[in-house]
Amino acid sequence: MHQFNADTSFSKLARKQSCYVILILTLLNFTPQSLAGSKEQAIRIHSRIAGVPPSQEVLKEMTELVASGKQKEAASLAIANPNFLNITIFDMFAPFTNENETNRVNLSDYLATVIGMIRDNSDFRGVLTEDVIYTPPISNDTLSWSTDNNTWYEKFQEDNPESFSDLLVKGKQSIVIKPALQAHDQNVANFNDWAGILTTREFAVGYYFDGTNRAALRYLGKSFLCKDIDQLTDTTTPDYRIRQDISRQPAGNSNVFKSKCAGCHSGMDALSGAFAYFDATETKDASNMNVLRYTISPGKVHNKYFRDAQVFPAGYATKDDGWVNLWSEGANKSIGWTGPQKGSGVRSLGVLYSRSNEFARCMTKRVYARVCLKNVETLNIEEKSIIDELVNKFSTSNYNMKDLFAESSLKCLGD
Amino acid sequence: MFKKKCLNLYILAIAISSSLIGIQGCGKKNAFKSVEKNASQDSEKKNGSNEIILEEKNSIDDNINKESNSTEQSIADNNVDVGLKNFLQINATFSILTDVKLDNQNIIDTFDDVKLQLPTDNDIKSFSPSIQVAISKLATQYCYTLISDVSLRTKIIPGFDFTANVSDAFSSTSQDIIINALFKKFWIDEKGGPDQKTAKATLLTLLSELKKGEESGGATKTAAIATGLCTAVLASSATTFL
Repeated sequence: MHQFNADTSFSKLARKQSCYVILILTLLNFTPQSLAGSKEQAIRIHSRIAGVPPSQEVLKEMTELVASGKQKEAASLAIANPNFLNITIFDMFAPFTNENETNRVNLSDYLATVIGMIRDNSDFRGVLTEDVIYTPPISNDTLSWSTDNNTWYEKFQEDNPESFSDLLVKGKQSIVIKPALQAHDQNVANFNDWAGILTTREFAVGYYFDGTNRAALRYLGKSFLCKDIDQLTDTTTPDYRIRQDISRQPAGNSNVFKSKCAGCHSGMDALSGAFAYFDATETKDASNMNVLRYTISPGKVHNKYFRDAQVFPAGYATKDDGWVNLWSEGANKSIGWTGPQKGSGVRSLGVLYSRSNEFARCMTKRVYARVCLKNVETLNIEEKSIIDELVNKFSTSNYNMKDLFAESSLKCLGD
Repeated sequence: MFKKKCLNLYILAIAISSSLIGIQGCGKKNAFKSVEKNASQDSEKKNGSNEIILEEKNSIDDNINKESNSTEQSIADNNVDVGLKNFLQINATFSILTDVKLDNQNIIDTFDDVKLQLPTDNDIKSFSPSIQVAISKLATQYCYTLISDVSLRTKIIPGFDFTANVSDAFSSTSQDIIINALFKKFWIDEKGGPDQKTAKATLLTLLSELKKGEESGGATKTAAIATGLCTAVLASSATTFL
């Protein structure tokens, strides 16, 4: 057995005939006929949810369920397919783990935690607030969670490409990752602000690396409120929390600051204080190898918060990891913030975001777009009302993502 | 809603030279007719003024551009209810349909080779010939691995004699065995998928081309032709569309 290549005698024939194959591949793109029957609906539900066709046995069962009006039960069978987690959930959240927003990434503690929480029917709001992490099972090899690399997760996915989601094990960050972080800063011993994916290594190397940690706030909003920073711009927001590194008269014009810079920074800087103790930096490990290390320094604001402080010394000097939500009034009030509008640390910030109305709406839109192949930026009135209905069901199902997928799939069964 | 028929034909137009395909139901059909008609008129006016011909040509080009832009714009503007599987979904789909495991080293190597060329997301509007080439490369590896494995090929294509020479293996009766088996295993959506009667006729055309000059070939040639048929069915829209 070997890889198909142009050097084999077998391939000579195939190469000779390749033009015919390509032609016929294309010719076989015939027009699908209308989707109407129970079987066709079952196939569509399965393909959209799991990304792969069902087995003959599952298809038969799903077809019978659809025929008897139990489409949601049929969708549950599709959700039980391992590829719902391995592919659909993995692919849905993979772009949120990095600033390049690519889905061509490996399994990480971020993705494993998302996959595990959905697999275990957790209240999905906990993805930003819980002391939880999913890891490969502990084995005899020497790999474990590391501040310096993602090797444990990558190797686990490579070794178990068809079953890695099923095999993930639930744990607590305060137990699994705390010792490794503590090795770089003893103060971590007293740190208890664990907050789901916000305190994973993958989020750290994605958004706490270099910069000013504003990227963490930007991508938190982009990933879980479906709102990039420019969509949150509001020049009426008070600007007293804008940090020292932002010029109040860019290019010598203070109007530019007031009409442009302050629109984003006033709200963003007031919230990004929550990340003041987090960092990811390039350094050398014990073997003198270059690594990207995730660190937490409880009680000590990272230097990056004071970089370029001379630009406007009268600006806000970050004192601790306190934050305040200045977007609770004005244009961004529509996000539907609930609960405390100020706090300290990432967990309380995660609570603010995950308890907002827009969190549930964002997750719903993402699932509906994926399952029904809709552009959620251009929804018509009927589709907007579908989103409203699904948001309501999502919140009454204890924010169960599997249920959201099942309900969404019923909205586009075909004609 | 943009009609699927139009969409599929648009994909055909991208995938292979539009001169090979009758584009029906799309705006471009008129554009091509217009070219032919006006080209003929140009011919008749050979002795006429070059300026008039040039003017007419410009007018034709304008019409083609307008209709072409209009068609492309209408495609871009419309929501479609069909999607293209992304790189992960295509790889997993091929693995499930052929029963070849994802951790097969040859599959891993081929997938790594073509991964970036496969679709990133499910947007059907991103479909291009290079994507189809990557899909067919991956499908070829899956089919090669399938056909090379005696137990797998017996399970997926039961009753087909892979040890026979080409003329016997693909006789008028036994050729149906492999084609029907591939349809049954790979195209589970008989109604919503491609029309199998038409597809079968096309596959038989392919088969006759593949057999030319190879009738006396042995089991190796039989396997090669079977791999070609397998690839054609596996890499089709019936398996790669959502």
